[in-house]
Amino acid sequence: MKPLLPLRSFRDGVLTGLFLLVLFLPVCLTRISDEVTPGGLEEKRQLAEMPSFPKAVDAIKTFPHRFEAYYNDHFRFRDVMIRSHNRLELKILKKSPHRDVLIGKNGWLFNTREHLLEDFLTIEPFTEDELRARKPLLEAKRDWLASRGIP
Amino acid sequence: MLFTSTVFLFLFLPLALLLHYVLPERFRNAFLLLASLFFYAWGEVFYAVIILVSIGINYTMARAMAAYPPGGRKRALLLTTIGLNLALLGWFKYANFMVDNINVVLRIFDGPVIHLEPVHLPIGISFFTFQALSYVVDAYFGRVAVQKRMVDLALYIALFPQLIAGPIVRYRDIAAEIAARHVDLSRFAYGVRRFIIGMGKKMILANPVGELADTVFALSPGEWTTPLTWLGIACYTLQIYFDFSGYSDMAIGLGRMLGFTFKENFNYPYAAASIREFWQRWHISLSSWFRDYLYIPLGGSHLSPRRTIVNLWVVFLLCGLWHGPSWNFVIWGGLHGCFLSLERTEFDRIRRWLWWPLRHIYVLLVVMVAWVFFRLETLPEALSFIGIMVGVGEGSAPPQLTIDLFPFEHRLVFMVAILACVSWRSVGKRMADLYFRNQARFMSTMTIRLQPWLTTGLHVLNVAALMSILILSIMHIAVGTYNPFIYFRF
Repeated sequence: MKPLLPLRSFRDGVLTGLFLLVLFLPVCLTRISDEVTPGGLEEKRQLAEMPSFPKAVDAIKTFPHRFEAYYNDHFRFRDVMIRSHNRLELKILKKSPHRDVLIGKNGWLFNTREHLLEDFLTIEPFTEDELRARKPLLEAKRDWLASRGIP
Repeated sequence: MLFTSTVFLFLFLPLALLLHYVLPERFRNAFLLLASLFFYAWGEVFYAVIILVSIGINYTMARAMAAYPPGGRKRALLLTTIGLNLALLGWFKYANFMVDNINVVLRIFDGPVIHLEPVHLPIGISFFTFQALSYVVDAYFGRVAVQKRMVDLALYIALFPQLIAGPIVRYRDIAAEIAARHVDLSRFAYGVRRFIIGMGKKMILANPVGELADTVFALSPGEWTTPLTWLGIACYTLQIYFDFSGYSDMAIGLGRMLGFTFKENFNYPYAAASIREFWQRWHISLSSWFRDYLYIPLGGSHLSPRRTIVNLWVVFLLCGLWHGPSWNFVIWGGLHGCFLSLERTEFDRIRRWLWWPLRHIYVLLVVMVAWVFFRLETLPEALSFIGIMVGVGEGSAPPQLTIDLFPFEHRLVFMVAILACVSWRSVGKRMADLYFRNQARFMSTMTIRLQPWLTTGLHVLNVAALMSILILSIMHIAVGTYNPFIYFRF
């Protein structure tokens, strides 16, 4: 069994080295600033800003939460990790990486928010009362369009 | 601070590891204590004072006890310390619960109700209180030497890997390592392996099945159907195991990286063939705590059979209450106590007589039904859920649920999670025993066949698999920070 020992030590060394690399690399490369890395993700929102050092009691209470929000938005390789995760889901699991987006045929994507999917699938039809309430509105619109010569 | 947060993984942990190993040995305990208090204060801020109070009480009282010979005064000091610890836990965890229940009684007799503002529950208070209690009781009985250095005792109570969710570590198990620790590459790598496996259990298995369970439990009772309730509780059964055992694995792994050896907390509990065996495999540090510090002092199983059953009930009702201030937890504990008691009667003959797969099904059924009380907050909801599980009062599922309820990813994770509930190493050994009659012959055959290229290949595969789990888990964590306002794209 002797030849196994150096091999095991080598395996342990590689595993430990890679683990520490994964842990330390983002710390070493994260810059404390509010800049967004070029080629970052388009989230259409204001990313959290670095909180100032707390001076009042209330600020101390909320500091960890505010710092975590900042760090979550700015840690190094965030964009790479998110893109890789979403690509994996899309390519391997054929799953939409976002719950509000449905993957259609021929590269089409569908928005599913605000019950749009349920509407398309007629899963949640209007009740009789709702239909009755909408009828005069639609009729009024039809008449208004007709008065302008639009059939 | 959560182990699966970016701040922990990419800031706290690397800095803590670095400084721990850079500092001279004599400063390491003080540094780890400061790091642990910072870790706790990150989530609890000013409530971190409570853990300091707990440390102060237990350090002072244990030192005071040591000054007296065995007898009345020493005993009085022990009872006072236990009382103070339980008072701290009682106030922060059970004050509102007790007041609510007293008010129910007062309302019946038209008495004036008591008003109490909600008391904040400091995270991990049940864990560190139980650790402290085990220390003072062991110190009283002379099982451990009283710690004279406050920093060292404080480190035992507040050590960050096991601080907020266990395992409940005994002082005697790590006393020597608090005094002097030895870490080599093999031990550190073992810690890394356990940490990665734990993180994978949490991020890759527990969270997706948890999402599915949440979808089912979020429905109103009128929307539950029999298949849905079974799916929901099966997912929750998997979620709670992989979530908690994953956390324990991470704690054990972190401990090992820092030079501490924590005992195992889980041992494939869902593979148990009796409820008794289940409790020898589930949350072992808690069940052994209750065994050593409550069940045995009550007389354990050495008194009459009736007394043994009473002891079991007391232990498991309190074990239920330990999990949270709610009657549902008490019922959960009661159910386990009930079946543990039954297994000490003629009922156990029937259990033993059963075909072995049926014994496992019996355990899973009891455990899953009991989890309903653990998961649902109110008794009527839990009873309604169990009723629907057996086909009574079934509702109709909302039509939206028919879309993508159980997608490929969830089905895959569900199957992997079920397979991961079994120790395949034990199954392999059993099979080997069966086919090769004796294990030694099998092992020698395997050793010859595995030499040498296959062994190298297996090591490479092992590292590659662990790194894939780590990266995949980090990807899941990163995605949790991604909050796009997607509607603006349309």
